[in-house]
Amino acid sequence: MKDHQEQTPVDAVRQVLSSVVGANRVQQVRDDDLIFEHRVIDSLHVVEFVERIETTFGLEVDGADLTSENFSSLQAIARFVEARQAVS
Amino acid sequence: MAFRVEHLLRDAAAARPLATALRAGDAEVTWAELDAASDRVASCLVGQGIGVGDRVGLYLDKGVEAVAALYGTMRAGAAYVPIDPDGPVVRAAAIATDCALAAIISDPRRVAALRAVAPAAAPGGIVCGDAIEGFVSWTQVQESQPREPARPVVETDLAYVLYTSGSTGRPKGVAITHRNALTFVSWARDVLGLQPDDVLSNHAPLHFDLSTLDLFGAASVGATTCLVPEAAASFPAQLARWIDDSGITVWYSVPTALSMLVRYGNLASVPFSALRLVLFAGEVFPNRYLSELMRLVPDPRYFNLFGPTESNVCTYYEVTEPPTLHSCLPIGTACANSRCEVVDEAGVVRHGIGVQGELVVTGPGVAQGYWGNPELTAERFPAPHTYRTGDVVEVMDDSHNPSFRFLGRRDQLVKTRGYRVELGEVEAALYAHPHVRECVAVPVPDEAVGNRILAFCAPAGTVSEGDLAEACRGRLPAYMVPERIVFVDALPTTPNGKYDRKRLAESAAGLTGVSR
Repeated sequence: MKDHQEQTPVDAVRQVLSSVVGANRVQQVRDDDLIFEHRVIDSLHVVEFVERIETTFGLEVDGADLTSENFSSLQAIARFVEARQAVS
Repeated sequence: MAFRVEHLLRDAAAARPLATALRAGDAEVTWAELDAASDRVASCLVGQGIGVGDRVGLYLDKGVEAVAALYGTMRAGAAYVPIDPDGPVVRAAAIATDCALAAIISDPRRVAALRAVAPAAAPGGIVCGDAIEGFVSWTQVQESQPREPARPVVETDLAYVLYTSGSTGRPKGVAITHRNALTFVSWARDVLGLQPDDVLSNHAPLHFDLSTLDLFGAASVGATTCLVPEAAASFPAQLARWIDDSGITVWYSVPTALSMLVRYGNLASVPFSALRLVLFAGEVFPNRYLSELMRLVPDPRYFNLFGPTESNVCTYYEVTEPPTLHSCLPIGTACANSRCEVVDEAGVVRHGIGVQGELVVTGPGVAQGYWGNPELTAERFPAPHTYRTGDVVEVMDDSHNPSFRFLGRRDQLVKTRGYRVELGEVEAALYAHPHVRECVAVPVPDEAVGNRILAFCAPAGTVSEGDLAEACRGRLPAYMVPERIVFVDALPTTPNGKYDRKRLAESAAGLTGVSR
């Protein structure tokens, strides 16, 4: 296990995505790759992914948050998570 | 008279040549254009020697080409075999081999991947993109000279073969004839009152039988089918707006997609002005989300459609009131030209309110059997056009065509996200790993996705959860891969030596409870 302290937010998001779709699928994904357009994850696994984002980072995602802008890439998700954590 | 599925296309093109048949992202084709494109695919396939009795794989992204390919395949007299374009290539190869494909319609990247795994699995055919050895490119298809099938095609020939999860670890192909498909389409057209100005959504992939209503139901009246863009499908608020903006009148999907809309779709802000029918099938729709959906989107009529791929939709129930939290939504009554009966353990038909037993479906909508598997066919199809569903139901009234309630399964089949998963197939994938000594896969009921799949494993040697998950991903579609694999020293057994699946399911439920 990596030390949680040293992990960047993008790494943490990457780890959550790996736990849903598998490390092999996420390995070649670059931080700014469009994960939905590249079919890294499909629509029927979105809820599971969002739930894991919520538990991992201790935040709540609602319908207005779950957009293709906030969730387009690992980087975008990390930015969204950071912004949300800064507010709370 | 339409005797074959592709006759629906021919008739729609004759009646409404300039009406939109299909919208796929920015692409849009009329019925005349789709008819012509399908003709060229058929001519190309006939030119390659494909005809009655052959199977042609469709292994490509959903779009105008894929739809023209499936009609073209049927027009050439062959059956189309849709293969999950995003699934593991090992599974695609297993299906291609099992079905002994005569040709495949795909793209250069996927053909290369398939050939790397099983050289004989991609014998030739058509590719979207640049021509490769043994394949004709989509551009070359456009230059095909018109050719008719060498032998006449009849309604008892196969129209398509749909692969579903198999309990032994080998996917099984449900062989559907033109007559089977049209029995279902005729029922759908009449009961749903499909009209030429309808716009049907297509959410399900082509290898999932829900897609046949979206495509062939629309063709039966010359209506429009709108393919849901995968990007929109993933973002519920965008999907809700897409449904409204696209003027969808008939929505059909698994309950998971609708639950997602209820939870994240901001539905109250969308008018859904055109939507008149909401259909769902594939698994039980949690009352909580269904009732909330009906309150948020009150205008359309709601239908619960029920039936395994082998029988097509065999019962239906119109939901007129939002269900109460603890009620059990009926699966309804038999579809037109179908007989649904309950049999006891001895296979004897039982009647009367409250009678419980296995649902058996009889009628021309019932599939021919499993492709290349006479043993399993004989077991589950005791007579022609008769299928033992394995679903346990209860009779709700004593009329001649009673309504039913779904109670559960007789075997190890569970539903997740609307998909069928044979737990045996999950276990077979785990057992394929050399460091698995014993394993059991269990379902954990979950409102959002139907069931989550977990596995318990007694390892032989050193292996990590990640290793086993990756091994599963190499063999199984994403929805079948266990969410967690829990290591135990030994698996609990019942007094008669079977794995204690009930106890494992209970501890699995406890585990997921802790993790969220």
